[in-house]
Amino acid sequence: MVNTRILVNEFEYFEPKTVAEAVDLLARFGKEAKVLAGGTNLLVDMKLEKVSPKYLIYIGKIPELRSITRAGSDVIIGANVTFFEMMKAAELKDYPLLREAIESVQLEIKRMGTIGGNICNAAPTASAAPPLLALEAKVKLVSKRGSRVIPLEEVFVGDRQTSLAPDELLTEIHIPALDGGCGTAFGEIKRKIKFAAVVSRQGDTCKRCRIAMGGDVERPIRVRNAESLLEGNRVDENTVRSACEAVLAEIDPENWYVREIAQYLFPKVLQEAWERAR
Amino acid sequence: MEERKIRVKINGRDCELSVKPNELLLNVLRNKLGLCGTKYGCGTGDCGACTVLVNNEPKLSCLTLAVTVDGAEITTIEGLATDGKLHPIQDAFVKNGAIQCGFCIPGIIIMAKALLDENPHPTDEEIKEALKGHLCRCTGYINIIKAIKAASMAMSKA
Amino acid sequence: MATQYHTVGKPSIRKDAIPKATGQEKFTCDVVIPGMLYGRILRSKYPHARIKRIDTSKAEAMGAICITFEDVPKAKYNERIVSVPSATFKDRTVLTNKPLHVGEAIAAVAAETEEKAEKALRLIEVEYEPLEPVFDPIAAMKPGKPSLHDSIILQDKVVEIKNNIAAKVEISEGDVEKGFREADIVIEGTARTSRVYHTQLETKSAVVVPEPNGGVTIWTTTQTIHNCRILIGEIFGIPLNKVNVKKISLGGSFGSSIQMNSVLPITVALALKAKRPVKMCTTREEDMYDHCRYPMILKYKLGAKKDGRLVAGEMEVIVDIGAHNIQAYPLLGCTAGWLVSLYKMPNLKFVGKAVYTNKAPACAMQGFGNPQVNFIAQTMMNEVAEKLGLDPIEVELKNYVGLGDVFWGQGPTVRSVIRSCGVEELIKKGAEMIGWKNRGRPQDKKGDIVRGIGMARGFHTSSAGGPMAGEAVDFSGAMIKINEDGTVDVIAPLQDMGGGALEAGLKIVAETLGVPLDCVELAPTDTCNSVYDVCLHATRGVYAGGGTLKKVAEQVRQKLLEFASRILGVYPHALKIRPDENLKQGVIYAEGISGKEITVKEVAATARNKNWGTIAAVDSLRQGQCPPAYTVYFVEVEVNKRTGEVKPVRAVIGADCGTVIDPIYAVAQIHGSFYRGLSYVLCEDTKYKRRTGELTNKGFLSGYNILKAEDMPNPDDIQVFFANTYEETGPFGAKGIGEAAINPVPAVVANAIYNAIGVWIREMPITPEKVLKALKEKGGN
Repeated sequence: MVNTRILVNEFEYFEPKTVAEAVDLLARFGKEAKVLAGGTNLLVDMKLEKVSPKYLIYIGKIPELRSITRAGSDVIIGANVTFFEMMKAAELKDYPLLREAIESVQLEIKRMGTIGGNICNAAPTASAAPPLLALEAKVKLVSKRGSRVIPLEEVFVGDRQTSLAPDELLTEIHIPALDGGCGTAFGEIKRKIKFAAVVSRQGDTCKRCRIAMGGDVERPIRVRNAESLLEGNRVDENTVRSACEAVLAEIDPENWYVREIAQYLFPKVLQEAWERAR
Repeated sequence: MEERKIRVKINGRDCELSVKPNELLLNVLRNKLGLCGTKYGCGTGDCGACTVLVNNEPKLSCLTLAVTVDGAEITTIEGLATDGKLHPIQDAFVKNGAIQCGFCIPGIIIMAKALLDENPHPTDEEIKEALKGHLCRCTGYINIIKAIKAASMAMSKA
Repeated sequence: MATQYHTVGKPSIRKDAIPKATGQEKFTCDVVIPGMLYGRILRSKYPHARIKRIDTSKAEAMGAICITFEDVPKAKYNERIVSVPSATFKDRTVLTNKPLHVGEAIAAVAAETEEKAEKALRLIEVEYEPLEPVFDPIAAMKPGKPSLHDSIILQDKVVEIKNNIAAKVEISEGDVEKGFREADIVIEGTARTSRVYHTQLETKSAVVVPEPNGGVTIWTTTQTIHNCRILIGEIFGIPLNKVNVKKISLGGSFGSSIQMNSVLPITVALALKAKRPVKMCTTREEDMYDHCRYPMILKYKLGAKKDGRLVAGEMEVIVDIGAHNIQAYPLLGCTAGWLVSLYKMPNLKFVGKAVYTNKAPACAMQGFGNPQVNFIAQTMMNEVAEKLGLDPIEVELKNYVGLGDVFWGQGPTVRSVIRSCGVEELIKKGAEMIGWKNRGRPQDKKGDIVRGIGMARGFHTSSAGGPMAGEAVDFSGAMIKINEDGTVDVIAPLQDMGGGALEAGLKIVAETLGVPLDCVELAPTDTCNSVYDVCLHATRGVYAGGGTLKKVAEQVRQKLLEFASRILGVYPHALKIRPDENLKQGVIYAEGISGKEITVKEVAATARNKNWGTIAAVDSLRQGQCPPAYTVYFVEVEVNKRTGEVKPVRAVIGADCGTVIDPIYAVAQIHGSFYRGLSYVLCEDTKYKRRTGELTNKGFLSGYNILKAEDMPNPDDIQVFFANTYEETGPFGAKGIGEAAINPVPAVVANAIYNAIGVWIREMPITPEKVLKALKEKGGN
């Protein structure tokens, strides 16, 4: 049996002051190291003895990871920005989708949890994942070997699994500007299923649409098949039903309850985004 | 594991402590500083009984490594009353029947302080939302919600 | 009713509110003794096994103190001794070499720090011989299934256990077959209730100090300091006057500490071996493996006349008690009692079986079988009403056991007559407040989101008192003394697990003595300086505990007035006492005669100066009744027919607890009970993996589904009111309320769901999945 009163795991502890220091440590210790940010996932995993890192790299004291800035029309969120800071940020006022999704995070976790941590923990229920996927966010990954910017979609490869190399640190999330007149909507049924939708329209035709889901599924994903069924078409009962089929294809056929409520929630979220679009 | 020195301000008092990197803030508060008001309820972040303020932000001390709060100001339930006078939130809890067994109360009062500092006039819905991370098995939350509203009114009159 | 009292019936602030609000109140887990070691328990990883070999040498080499089955007393006991010895089934030992559930204690260590104790624990080597487990109670009763206990000890006799049946109760009254033949309608139903975890905030803990005289001093999570003392004395062969259990605040319990918690004797053994104090605080995951509520499968057949009158009832109950029999036998007797005291039953047959399985042992939780029985009985009466085209309220009023009726107390051995009952008042007023007439019919409700209103009525006995001794020990004792400055010490071993029974008790003392409430305080109490109290449970805190305090306070009052009489020259029976808020004292006076007045303080000081003695009394009380407290719930739920989600939105709760001693905390108790009942019926359950016998959630709260604040109705949408009743056998007319307040909640929710969507769901927890499935089976809208 484990002991959640204490941390049994012993490790060497590092507190880098810059990204360069942090990636240097990751290069040295790689797979035997874990990056600590808010701790609300990692420390639970360590208490439950799912992971026992030999080296713990705390990145909470790196100032450059804590900022929210603009670069052209993109918003750049540092990996250590907390949910609470994101809720308050002026730069994120134009993305109500993000706020709607993280609103329901419990108060203490809003203050402790970071967006970088939320992404790297890669839980299928990750709060920030569906809105960021629907917003076509990119992430910057830095290592001693260099840095790369990839779509967030490419990060989530499985249940609690990311495509990050052991020596890579996620430092920034880039959110592109929304098309003018876009409608966005978020909806969730506690822990079971959640949808984020970004839709732009021309009259009754859907110009562009992005749909992401999370919950009791394998990983957070964009439902590209649903998107392509809607783009360039009228949004009516038939097209929504087909799009819904594409969504259901992403849910385990044995999971009858989540499939049922997905059929209820998805059209609702899509409808809401559609009505908000101009 | 090598111990590290940390300097923190706890309830207004400067402290220098020697801690192992794997020591949890909760246990340092309870065992090293004798501040037993903050409680262990679950160890996994689901009950809120361990909530303290770190630089005025409500955090779960059972999921915080003590080493990471070096340089921080920490407020525990013991630090809320000033000069023997109850904080208005404590007073409201006492007067509104919000306390039964009392085990969850320190964490909830600390959270309520953070809530009211940020949102001085929360609605019932906002208070219920803020209580999401707090388990109270005795009260059903009803008098707790009333107490937080009463505190909000008392604090806005002050 | 209560306006003539100066503190009874008036709101006041509980004495422990400020200590709890400032974090200064100490619980067992906060006790620090210089030089103490930290304990940690090694727990079985198999649901059923024999320990072939256990090697603690590496742990001892580290400097840890270790104990295994070999090092502790081996005699069997029952950790709950509320029942008399002839009804006490013993199958538990301090540590075991044949674990019967995952998480059962097989060894323990103590070391300088928690970290060291953890390291030492992991150095213990265990060789298990896994045995075949059994998890399903029905399967467990079949021949050829693995047996958990070959025999147990009942009082002093060895009793064989067959087919894992731990206890069986069969009760018959009248002739059920004849009753069913005479019925105009007969319906049958089955209900399953969940294996709820108490989820009290404080996990079970103990601190034990070995004393130089060979005894021990104990702080522990308990609802009964005296029963813990008796058990530890018996198990370890220590004379009781050397075993001292100190009363300390308890972080919630709801029944899980009626029995001595399994952590206590283990900690005592460690402390005695180490010859140093030992503190043992369990983790949440250990706690979830330690105890749970009794889950039941209830099959019920009832027959009624077409005017709604019940003529016959037949119930079969199977209780899955897990690995140990903590109180299954009284549970079964009580379960029959709850049914028979809920509705008038001219013809009844009840068969109850308690079955062992390789899971965490079940124990009492608020209601003790009453919520389970109420769940099926109330919903089926509602179904009968619907089928007969009658208003459920009408049917309820025709059949309830009320004023003047003979009523079973806790089980068949104790019967009494009901002298106070507010059921009609509660039903009529509550129906109006909720808008019962406008609740509509399920078939008329359209749309994805519909609402329904349900009603359910419950009751519970106030204590397990009765006119003769029965199978449950039920009495309380207290000592009250007046100090030299006129303040009052109350030495009451009765525990308070948060509900405020002792706060009510202090008001009762202040009222009886005629002194301001501020003059009365609870003294630190332990088993050496207090007389026996059986336990805080069975809704006996106010009625029996408070009743005892009233009795003792009256004796103190007599002595006080006798001493005052010596000073004033007025006969004691002509003296009165009034509380004086300015003087902050009680003032003794002769009515109508001026100048014959003296404060309590002056009398006490005089008594000391003149060597008359202390104004004090100590006594016990066994109540001769256990009058039912009643509640009637009207609850409105909102059901989303597309997701199956059920949300309680409004509630009107009527309670009959006789005189309301403490208005704030009586209401708070009802709120909390409503919450726990809602969570019980809508969310909570612990499940086990078939192959490993592990909890599917491994004991972590994150995996335990429980109602949160956001799921509750808003405070303004919950109305609580009280009946105008007075129970002449209770202190100032009071009864209890605790368990009565939870018992009908599961049923009222099921009834409300029926009114919303027209389906009966009787399997707990009523999850959204179950609601959606039921709707699909019904054929949708």
